[in-house]
Amino acid sequence: MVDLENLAKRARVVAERSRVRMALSVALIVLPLACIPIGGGANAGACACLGLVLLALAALLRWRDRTGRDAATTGLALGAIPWLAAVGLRACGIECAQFWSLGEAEVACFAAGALAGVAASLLVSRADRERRKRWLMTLGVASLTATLGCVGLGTAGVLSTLVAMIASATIVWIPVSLRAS
Amino acid sequence: MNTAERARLHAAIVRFADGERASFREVFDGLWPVCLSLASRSLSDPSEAEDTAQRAILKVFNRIVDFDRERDGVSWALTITAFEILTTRKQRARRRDETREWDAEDLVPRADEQLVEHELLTSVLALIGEMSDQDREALEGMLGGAPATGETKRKRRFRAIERLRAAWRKAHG
Repeated sequence: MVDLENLAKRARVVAERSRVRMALSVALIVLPLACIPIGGGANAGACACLGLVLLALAALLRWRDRTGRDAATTGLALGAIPWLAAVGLRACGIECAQFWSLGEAEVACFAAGALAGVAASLLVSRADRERRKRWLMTLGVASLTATLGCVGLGTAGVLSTLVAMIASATIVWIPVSLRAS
Repeated sequence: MNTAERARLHAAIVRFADGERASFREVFDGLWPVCLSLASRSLSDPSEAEDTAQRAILKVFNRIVDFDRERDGVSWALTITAFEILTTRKQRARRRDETREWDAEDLVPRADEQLVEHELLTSVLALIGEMSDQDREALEGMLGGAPATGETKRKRRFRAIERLRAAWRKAHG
């Protein structure tokens, strides 16, 4: 005779372990995202810290539920736009100018951040449920991913990307959420 | 299991796969009898059937995080159970090979296996018998080993298999 309570307990443990394994598999994406900027000459300590925070956030979201899983995927994909722009600029030997001046690096970061922010809001607005939560989570992951790429360019690059991403995402999000409510 | 129960169980599986941990008990209580019933019908030894069903349900929960919500949850669990039954049969055959010397009897299926196979075949043939003439012709051709030549025949056979699957699900859950 099967001990059903024991079997249920084992099944629950197996399900949870498989969820953790699935959540941690995001390391395969986060690890290159953190290592490539270091290879390009970015501050290793800052990249490692940001990489760990991004890994923890993405893994936690993926472990939690499907909304978090989708948000982590979208956030990583959209954050990769400014990340790629920043890594590309860095590879061409372009760095941010002084903090208060606007150079080509800041403009490129601003444009890439704005594009990612608009895309994040538009994509999340198509979701069928928990849109506000998903929007915040997507933006969090995308911001961290973008910061990871821009850290090699300097503080101005990071700030311009984040400001552009959050501002553009919010501007697009307000009419969407008003229409939904 | 009727259609409403099946739909409820599928919804619970989707909710659990989506991260709603509270649905665990509903999914477990719904899937266990289904897996055990298939294993018991397919394997003659009750203890072997229980072991197989246990392994199958643990595999179901191991893979539930990757469950495709477009698929029917019960059919998905039954597919995993069917694979586990095949594994059990292969292991049993291997054990038998290792412990006994080869003789002509090993090549002949055991009486209980023959009975189960006969029952399955009878059920399938009964369902085929209830289908339309066109479907029956296509399926009987397939069972007879005739190749489906031409696009029309292939499509007809494919649709007949789909309808047979649906009829099997309706009849046997």
